[in-house]
Amino acid sequence: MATLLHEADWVESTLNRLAQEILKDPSPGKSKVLVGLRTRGAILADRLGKIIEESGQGLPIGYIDATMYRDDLHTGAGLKPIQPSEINFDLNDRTVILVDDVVCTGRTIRAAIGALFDYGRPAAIRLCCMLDRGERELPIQPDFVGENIQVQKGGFVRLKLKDTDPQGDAVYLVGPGEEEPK
Amino acid sequence: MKWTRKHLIGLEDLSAEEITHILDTAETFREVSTRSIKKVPALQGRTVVNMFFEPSTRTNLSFSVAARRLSADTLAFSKAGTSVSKGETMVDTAKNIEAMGVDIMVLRHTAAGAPRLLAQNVGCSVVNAGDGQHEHPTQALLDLATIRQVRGKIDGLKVGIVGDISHSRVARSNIWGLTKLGAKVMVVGPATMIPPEIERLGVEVCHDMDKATAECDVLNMLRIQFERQSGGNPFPSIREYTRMFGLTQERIDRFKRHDLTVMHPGPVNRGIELAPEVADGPQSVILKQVENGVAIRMAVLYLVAGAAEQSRESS
Amino acid sequence: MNNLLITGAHVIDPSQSLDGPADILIINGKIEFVGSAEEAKSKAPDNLKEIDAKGLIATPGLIDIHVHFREPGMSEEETVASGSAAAVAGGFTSVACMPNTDPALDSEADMNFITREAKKANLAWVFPVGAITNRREGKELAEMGNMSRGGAVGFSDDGSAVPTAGLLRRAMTYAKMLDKPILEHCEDHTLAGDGAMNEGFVSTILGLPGIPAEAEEVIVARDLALARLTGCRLHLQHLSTIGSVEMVRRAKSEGIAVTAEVCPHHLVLSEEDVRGYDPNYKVNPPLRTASDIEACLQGLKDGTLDVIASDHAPHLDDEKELEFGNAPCGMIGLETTLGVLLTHLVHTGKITLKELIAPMTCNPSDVLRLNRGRLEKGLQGDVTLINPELEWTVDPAKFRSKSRNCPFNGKTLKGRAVATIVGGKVVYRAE
Repeated sequence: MATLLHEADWVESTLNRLAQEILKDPSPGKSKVLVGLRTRGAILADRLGKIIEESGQGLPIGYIDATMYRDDLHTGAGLKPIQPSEINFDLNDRTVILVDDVVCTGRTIRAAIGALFDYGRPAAIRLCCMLDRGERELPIQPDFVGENIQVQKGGFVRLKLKDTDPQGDAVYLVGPGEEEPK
Repeated sequence: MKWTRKHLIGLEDLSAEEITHILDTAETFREVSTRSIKKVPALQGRTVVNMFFEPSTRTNLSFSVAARRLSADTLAFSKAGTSVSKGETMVDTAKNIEAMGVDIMVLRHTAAGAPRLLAQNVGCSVVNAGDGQHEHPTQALLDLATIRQVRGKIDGLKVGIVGDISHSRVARSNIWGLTKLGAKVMVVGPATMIPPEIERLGVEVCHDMDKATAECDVLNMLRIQFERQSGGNPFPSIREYTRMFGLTQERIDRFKRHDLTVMHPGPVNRGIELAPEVADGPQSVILKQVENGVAIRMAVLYLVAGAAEQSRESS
Repeated sequence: MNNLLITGAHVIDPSQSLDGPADILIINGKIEFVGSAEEAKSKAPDNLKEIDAKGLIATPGLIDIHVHFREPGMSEEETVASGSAAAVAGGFTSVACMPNTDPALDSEADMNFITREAKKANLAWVFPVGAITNRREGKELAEMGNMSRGGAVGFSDDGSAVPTAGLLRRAMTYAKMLDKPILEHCEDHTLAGDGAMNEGFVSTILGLPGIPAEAEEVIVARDLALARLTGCRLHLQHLSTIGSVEMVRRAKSEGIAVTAEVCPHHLVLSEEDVRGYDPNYKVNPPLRTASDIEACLQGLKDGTLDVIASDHAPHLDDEKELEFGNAPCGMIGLETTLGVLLTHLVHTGKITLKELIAPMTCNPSDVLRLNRGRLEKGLQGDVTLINPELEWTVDPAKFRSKSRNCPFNGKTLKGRAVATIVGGKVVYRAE
């Protein structure tokens, strides 16, 4: 069985904290935009956007699927359904806050950065993630982090979200050979 | 679901789930073509060769654009005429080209079954771009994508395919795809252009264009080719064909079918199977088909390349 | 001196209703005696060569009256010599070869050429069939009289039907005078068109142009009418459809001088086998439906179809590696016919061994008046020894034929010829 690491209140308070940090960030360019990385990063971008909007400052929100930009076609990652990217605003001269759930090797983020540049030339890109496993293989660091955690070799960490998951907001550590809660 | 096929030979082989997966994947690729930078690196370093043993401008171009938008390198080989009994066979030619390091072969051939023969003889992926009168899977997929885009669904719709069904690979692939996704299919044309026992594929045969216009949600008008058959023409004259089976504005108006969706695989014989005002009119989705053609072919190339690399990894 | 005693075999000779243990004595290449071991021994000279055939079936030497030996013109596919070797390896002691060579066999010299090549090969009896029309063009009559003098046993434009009823009537009237049969390839080319397989549901799915059963049947109907008109013996080649079998059955009951043949592939393969687009299944007439197969089997059992013939049609690998639609028609059959029919018809109980042997011995002999196909005193000492239980795998590398285009490649069959004796001489022994 997976281990419950955090419950709903942690997710909620972390999102609030991250939203505040994003707002305070002295970003270059004329304004900030949120871009969520499909699938869970997109939901997080929506939730961050909502918190920020409640504080009186709406930010444009876009979504991106980096699958087509990955360097690992051979792993079959892309053979699962890809979702459309939606960036209905200009990225030029803006700071993009790229949002994802878990960052690990950095390869997905590299692919996402590549994808963003096909939509324009942002003034800056910042990375926001809920959980950072470390284990980086590329020189990429998040600017806004929920929590740093260590995962056993062969295991993984899963962020569940009330928007899509029956468990509601929660973080589970899943050890090698264990099953994640469905 | 997970895509596992390294070849695309025909829609007969695919499940409804697999067809839907291609359509879904194509939707994401459709977005790529709307950007100012119309390119993603998904197939970077891969080589796609278009092998066309039958002339075709549109399909050839559409596959090339699709491959390039995925950052693949493209090569083109075309050989007109069909006299392959002397000299190099298709398989010989293909093995030579494969030795140059090719990942995907896109094959158009006058002979039914040629893509299967090719897939049995080469190690790379094979995508059927039309084989004789057998199948033209990517054309049917782009037709399905267009129907789903403009009508919001496929299940439950009634789709008429009008023209020379006997000699049409587009009709065959469409029949497989549409029936698998739950549409009702009516094939419409002169009795001399309907192949034997086609009803056994679950389609309705109709020789009355009025009835087809009145009943169908979508009409897919096939290109009529006069003077194509060795045994003489299957209908007496173009004039008679147009009067009996052509789609005109008058026909649409008479049955008040302004909700009709009109498709055509191109190129249109204006004024024969399709009146110019209909081809350019509000019911026509011909240009959407072309647009979806690129997206569908991107999806197909992407999926077969992924499956091929995966099978290589695991073997 | 070709003297031979075959002992211990179970002899099946449908022409004499022989079906039991008997020894066969051959003296000077001719059948001397068939009967009890003691009597055979008593008639045998000293120092006689003997073959112990215990556990084997002995039949009159098998006869295939429809083969293509491709000489002259396409000797890279087959020659009279290589074809003869294939024939005896398949248990056949006599064959009739068709004239659709390049150029066509349409003269007395051509008949002599075939006979000479066959003598050189010295394996099987090879009987030439001459063309009905010059160059097989379907325009004017070839010299049938001269070809008869040269050894033609019948006439055929095989590969195509005689195109018009008027010309065929003339040919049949003339052939009747020569007391030779007309062998007809029944196919209306305007209906067959550029068809590549049977017309029906499967051709519709595969997108291959179809050949309807009626392309065969309209010619069968026409030819039967002309046989009635002219009184000429008519032999209908490779029939494949329900309608053809029914018409022949009725014509025979009306007393028309007609015989008919069926090919092994039309008895065991169907249009469904074409689904993989393997050109080895492309043949003319095309593989038909399960109901057609059933009708052909019934026709064989009730004698409507007199003859089983392979239509052995060699093609180079190159040609058969083409796309289905572009590949030529035809499959080789001499070396697989017996095994295929034993496996799929006899061992499955669809026909008896006796029902299989008559259409492969006395019946084809009678169609072409070859005076063979029987174990009767004074006839050629041609005998085939069959092990009906022997399992073997069709290995194209082992074919004696020069060609490999066979749909049964790699298949395991049960039963085959283990020795072939022509004129008292063992010309083939299975290793």
